[in-house]
Amino acid sequence: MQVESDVVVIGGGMAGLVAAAVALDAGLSVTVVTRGHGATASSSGAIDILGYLPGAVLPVEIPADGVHTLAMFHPWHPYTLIGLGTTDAGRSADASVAQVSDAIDWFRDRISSAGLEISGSVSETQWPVSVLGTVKPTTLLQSSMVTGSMSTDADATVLFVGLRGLPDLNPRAASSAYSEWCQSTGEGPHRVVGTVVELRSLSQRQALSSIEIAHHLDTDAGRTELTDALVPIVNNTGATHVVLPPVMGVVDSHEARESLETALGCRVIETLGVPPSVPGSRLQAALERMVVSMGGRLLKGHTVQDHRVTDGRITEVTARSRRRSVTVSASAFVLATGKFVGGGIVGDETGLREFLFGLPVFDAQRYLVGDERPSHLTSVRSVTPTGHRVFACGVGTDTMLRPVGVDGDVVYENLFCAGAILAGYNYQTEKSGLGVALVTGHTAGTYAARETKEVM
Amino acid sequence: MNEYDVIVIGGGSTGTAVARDCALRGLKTLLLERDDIASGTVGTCAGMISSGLKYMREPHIVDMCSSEVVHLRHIARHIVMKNPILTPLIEMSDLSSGGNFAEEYSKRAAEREVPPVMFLTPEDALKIEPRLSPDIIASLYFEEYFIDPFRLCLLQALDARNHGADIRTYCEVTNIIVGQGEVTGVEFFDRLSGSIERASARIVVNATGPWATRIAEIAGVPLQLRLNKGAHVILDRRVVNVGVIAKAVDGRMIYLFPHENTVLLGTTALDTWEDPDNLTASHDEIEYLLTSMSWVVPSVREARIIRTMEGVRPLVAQWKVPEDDVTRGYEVIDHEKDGVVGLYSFVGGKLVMCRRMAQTVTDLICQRLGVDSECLTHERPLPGMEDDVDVLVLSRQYGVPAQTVQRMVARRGTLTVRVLELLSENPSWRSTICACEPVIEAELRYSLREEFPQTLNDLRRRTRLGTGPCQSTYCALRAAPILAEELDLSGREAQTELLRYLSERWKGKRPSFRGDQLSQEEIVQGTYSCVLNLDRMGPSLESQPWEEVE
Repeated sequence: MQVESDVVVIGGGMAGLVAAAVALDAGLSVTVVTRGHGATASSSGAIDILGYLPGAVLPVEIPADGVHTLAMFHPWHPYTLIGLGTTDAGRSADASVAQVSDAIDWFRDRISSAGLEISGSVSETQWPVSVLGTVKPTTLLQSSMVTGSMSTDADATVLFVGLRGLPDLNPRAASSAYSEWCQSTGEGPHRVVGTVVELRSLSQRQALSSIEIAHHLDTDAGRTELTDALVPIVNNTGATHVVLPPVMGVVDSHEARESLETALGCRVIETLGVPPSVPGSRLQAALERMVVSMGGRLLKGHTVQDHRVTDGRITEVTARSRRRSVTVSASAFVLATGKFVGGGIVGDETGLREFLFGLPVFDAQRYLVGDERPSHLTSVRSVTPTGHRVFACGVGTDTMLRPVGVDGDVVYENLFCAGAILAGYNYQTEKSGLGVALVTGHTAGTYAARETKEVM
Repeated sequence: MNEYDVIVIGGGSTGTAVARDCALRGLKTLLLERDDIASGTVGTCAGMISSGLKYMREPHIVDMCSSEVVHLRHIARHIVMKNPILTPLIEMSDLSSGGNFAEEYSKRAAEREVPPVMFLTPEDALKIEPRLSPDIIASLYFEEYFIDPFRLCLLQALDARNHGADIRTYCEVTNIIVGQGEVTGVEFFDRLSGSIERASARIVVNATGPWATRIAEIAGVPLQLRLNKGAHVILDRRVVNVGVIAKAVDGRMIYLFPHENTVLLGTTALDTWEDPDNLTASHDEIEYLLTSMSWVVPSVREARIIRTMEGVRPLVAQWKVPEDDVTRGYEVIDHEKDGVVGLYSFVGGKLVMCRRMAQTVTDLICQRLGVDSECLTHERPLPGMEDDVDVLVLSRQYGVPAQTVQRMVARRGTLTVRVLELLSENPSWRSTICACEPVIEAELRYSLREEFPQTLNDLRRRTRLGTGPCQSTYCALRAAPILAEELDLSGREAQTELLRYLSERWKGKRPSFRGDQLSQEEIVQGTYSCVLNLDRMGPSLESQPWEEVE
């Protein structure tokens, strides 16, 4: 099958779908080729712009300031590169902040039209809670995760709720970790309690998963069941904030939250998702709705297997699914295939490489690491503030996000990269995963659209 | 000061067997293990209680192995499994060595209740294991027994405790007290409480495997071992469903054994001078194993390597011969000859011989103490072996999937019922915590209450929590709160434990880090660093005094 499109996006996570939506916004036709769900669908569901500067101990309090500092001192970070792409070095940090801010404003609006409410801004870090009762700095939250006054109000009573049969959130462990954290910071509620409730209609189920419960809470019966179980406990404890596992509806967390809050008379908050993540799937679904509603074409379950190059430009890619092969020609291409989970970067004992085009792989300092054995790019301990070097490796690009070869020259004039495939940042320790995906997706989409229009 | 007849140092297969034997003979026994039961060499073996055929040159050892298999099946049938093994032959030269092997094996097959060795045509071999290379010219077929090494050690320790022994884990012996040429006791450091304690006894047994020289040094007696490193590669799926033994690139025999939901590919054999506490498999070892096995099972490279597993064999110190030619027998060294009466050390030996080794030393101990008592360890069943268990009945009665019950029975035998009984009071403990294996919450709770684990890693040894293809990615965060609740840990302590456990798992994942494992590890980092923020909010992991600094 032969298809024509103005822009082709390879990869259907946050970065790819945002790039697609930006190009659609510009009035172009867009085809997204996606193999399946990648890291976005497994994500916490929160969009981290920047939680910690590399090497810093304290969290970023104002994401905009954090991005500004980053852009001054970390030349190869994607946030820095995109700033440099629009202005000269002297003002590029401001440009980076402006681009981050623009991308967020654009996104909040578009994703809201697709039915997902996002709150937060670059001027304030938010502190959502995890299933373990730990907190992390982030920027944009699905409204169901917003903790609001909980983390600062000394008079609040926080009630962690476990659901019987779902081992993901243990209320006792979560409440003691959260309360120890409050004590250590000297802020936040003095009263943190935990309880377990049972959803009777699911009590006979084996190995209950968060997805099943989320489906249940998409129904009126499910919500009623949960509120009935919670009302007496909320009354007894005087809870002002109820923290639930990440199960507040598969499709619509907003409605579930409103109905629970009305019935209980207190704030209801869901924790960040852990894989397999309900909030992550919710975000993924909303992103797909966004692109489809704007007229984009989604080729799901398709793997790009081949491409054609003429005069340093990619002219078409061929994608294969189980049943068919599709060749899509376009004027501009976006590569947003992610890192290892997405499949954009692969590695064996001989080294790392970019999967589709065989692009060279760099580390965060722009050293070539393609021939390094992956284990050599890791450190001895598993979880540390410095993380593992291998997770900051990826494709190196110029300031327009076009991939460069070992000589530093642009490889393909009309290919733009976005998201976790990019080298230069470790999203796990920085807390910047979906943020970089969003912002670079926005930038790559813009460049791809411009490229297409110039050709036309 | 606590007084004992016997102090056993080392909680591996031999140490726990000695403690059990001594306790069954009525001796007041203390077992000291500086880490956890089965945390050393035995925890890194494939669990084959071999018929001893690799050692055909030593017929008395083959005989002993064979009779020990019979004993182990008699006392611990519930944790013993019989696996078919194919030895595919690719060249005629493989066949000639195969001939001797078949003859020796078949001589002792009847007593072990296995068929004699069979020669199969390539077609028949491929019918049994379709993943074999189509290039094979013939294959041997025989059967060997496997035991769960963790459970064997733990059950021996529990049985010793049931007979009055004290089992202390996380207690490191720092001094052996000798007065006028006789052992009078030991001094040890309790890693959990941080205190130094003493215990007295006239007999001390050094059953510390590759660490035996260190203990001998403390006591001021000479002891030599030939330390030999062996590494396994563990793959994420059952690449084969029967064991495969093949000739490696250097002519040694290596194996691929299906093991629970994974396969074990092993082993290498290298003389080593490394600290046995800080071993990792080298790139060469990994490639040696993969290359060698891919000749007979080409698809072995398609599977994801989830980790490596390495240990040190404490061989008898025979030098200037290849490792394969060193005796697989054991020796009990009475250090009376070195001027210390009452101290015994083990060198050499194999997993399958652990009960026999214990019997030998316990006979000597009884003789010295003037105790007249018969060895019972080959007659008395280990805990859980009392009866057969009907998996389907239990599954229906307690509403737990048969597969889960079956796995539990293979660890606990009749004691499975005690785990399931917890469900009457706590129905939600049916929750699957580790989906790979699978392990339910009730089993973790039971183990925490009855089997003295102190860490998540200890819990893993007792239940197989987190040993499957995901290597704790999803279960660690669910299991940590349960451990915290049962052991009454604070939130911070639970986080420290979680980080320590992840680092411990990572140690084995790192040497073979490649391919799809990159993606698996991105999920680990995404979960524990990115979402749970333990890299920043978690406690910083300080090295313990006994750990080597990075």
